[in-house]
Amino acid sequence: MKYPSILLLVLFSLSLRAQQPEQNALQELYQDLLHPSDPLLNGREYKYYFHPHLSTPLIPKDLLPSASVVIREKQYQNVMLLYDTYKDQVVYYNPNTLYNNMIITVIVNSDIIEEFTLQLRSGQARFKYLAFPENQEGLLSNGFYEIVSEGACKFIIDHSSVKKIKEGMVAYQYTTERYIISSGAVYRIKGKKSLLKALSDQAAEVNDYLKRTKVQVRTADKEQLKEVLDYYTGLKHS
Amino acid sequence: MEANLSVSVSRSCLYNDHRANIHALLHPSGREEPGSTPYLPELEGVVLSGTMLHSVSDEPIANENIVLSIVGKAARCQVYKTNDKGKFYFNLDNSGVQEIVIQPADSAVSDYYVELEPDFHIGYDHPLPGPFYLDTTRLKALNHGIINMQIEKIYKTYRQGNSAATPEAPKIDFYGEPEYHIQISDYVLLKNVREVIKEIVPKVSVRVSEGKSSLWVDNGIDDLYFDNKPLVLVDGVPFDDVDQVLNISITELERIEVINLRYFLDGHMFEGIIHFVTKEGKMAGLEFDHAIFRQAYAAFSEESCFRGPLYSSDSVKNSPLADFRNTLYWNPDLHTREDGNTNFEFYTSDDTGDYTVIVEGISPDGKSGFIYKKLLVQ
Repeated sequence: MKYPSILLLVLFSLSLRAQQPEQNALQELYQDLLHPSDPLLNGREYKYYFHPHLSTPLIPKDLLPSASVVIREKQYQNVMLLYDTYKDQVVYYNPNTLYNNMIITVIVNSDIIEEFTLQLRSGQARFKYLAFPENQEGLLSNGFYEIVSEGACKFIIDHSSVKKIKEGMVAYQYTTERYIISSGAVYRIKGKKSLLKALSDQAAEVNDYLKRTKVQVRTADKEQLKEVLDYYTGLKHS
Repeated sequence: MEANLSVSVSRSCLYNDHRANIHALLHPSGREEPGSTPYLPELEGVVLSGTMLHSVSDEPIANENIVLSIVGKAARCQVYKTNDKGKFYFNLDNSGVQEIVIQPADSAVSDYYVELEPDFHIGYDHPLPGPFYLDTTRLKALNHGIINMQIEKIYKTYRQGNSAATPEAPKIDFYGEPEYHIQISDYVLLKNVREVIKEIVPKVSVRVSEGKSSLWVDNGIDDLYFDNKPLVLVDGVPFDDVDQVLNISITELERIEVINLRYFLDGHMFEGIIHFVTKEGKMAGLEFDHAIFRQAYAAFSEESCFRGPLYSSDSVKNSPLADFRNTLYWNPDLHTREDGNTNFEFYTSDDTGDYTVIVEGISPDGKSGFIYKKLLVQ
């Protein structure tokens, strides 16, 4: 007795009876009935806190209806979103919605956003909220990060701003930093050495690939690095 | 086919196959009215739907913003604009019994009542599976099972289970972190709430006009007050009788939270939020000056977890503790893979005999199924 038993349910064939084939239509109806109002209008008002300024912490620089956002598995396209890289906040602007004759910008509650996409000068950027375990060895705090690649390891970009005072005015110095999350550890990618450390289990092959393709990690753009990581993922799966 | 399964393995004598297949008893009764809203899937929690009506005329209260709130220390409000027929839909995403309050956002609308819709689909009959009877042909096996149950009751407390119930996540206010958080115990005990607001709570002031008090919130940018009154909550419930709030005993009050910004909730705007939280979290006996809809409502059941023993090491396997479980395995949340298969593991007990594996399943598109198989433990 006290023996382990493992049952494989392939042996059981369930007798099935159709009940509701119109699943998608029903889910659409659910969204319409349960969430009829603009889902982005959930959060506190965003106050422009940086006047007078030389540069703002908001990206993209031009407010255009070119962003998209996924909330409760539903995608909303062509919305006006800004990302405050200093406060790590997603800001929503809807010129069609007036309150007391005011257009109000809203900090969208981060817990309802599954992901959002911005059209930046460097191309399209997809952001997700990442929460890191407290005991994780790493460099990053919980917040929104651009997700470039999610293969054998995760390649993310941290968009942030540092507040500076120049000539009596506030300037937000915008920077991006690249990270790889591999086997639960976070590696900041500055150059070839740090990249090979992050991909240490296939370092020799990745190094050969970098030489072959003449990719300079320090100056490579995110698409070039993504190709390197796709190659790494291929190695892991081969 | 992917499916969600509920699987149990228990002694065969305790399984009554005449009563168990509830699926065979469920059948559409055809009572659903043509053109009515179909029964909605519950994707985020229990769907709480109903109609708000005028208490005098019985006419629906149409296109009115109404607020669902839950009495407790965390503010979990939702706003919904009723449709032309006064209908509303809310999601209750917490488990257990909740004390809910449904009221119009505009306190001027006070003559109302709420009719909640049934929790379950009325388009299906739910016949009981017949009266219980004792199968006398199985008396010996049943007695065996009862003795097992008694032994198990004694030894179960000494045995460590292989899993524990997942603790429920702490309830978070819908507004997240407040701009100001005043913990009353952090300060010297003042005379009353009015004095606390005057002396300690930033960005909030009390005004008295025609003998009635009201609260106002400073917008924090240009030292001006908002044009409209803030949302005042007491233990998560909107409450507009400020004089009663100010009369809450200071010893009963735990904290005050303030948001001195406009806040949007489901598209509805509030010019600031002030949340008074009492130590008991039960609204400190405050009484509304008009009838409100307030009742205990059973949401999802609390998550329960089967605690089977793990005999992975010899020391545990050779333990002298008796194991006479009648149920070897229970998992109401098992999922098949894309190929339609899945596997599960459990340990047999010290007792031999016939066991029955019972599998109930439902696919994402609503196809349901049921099957059972015998299993002999030697």
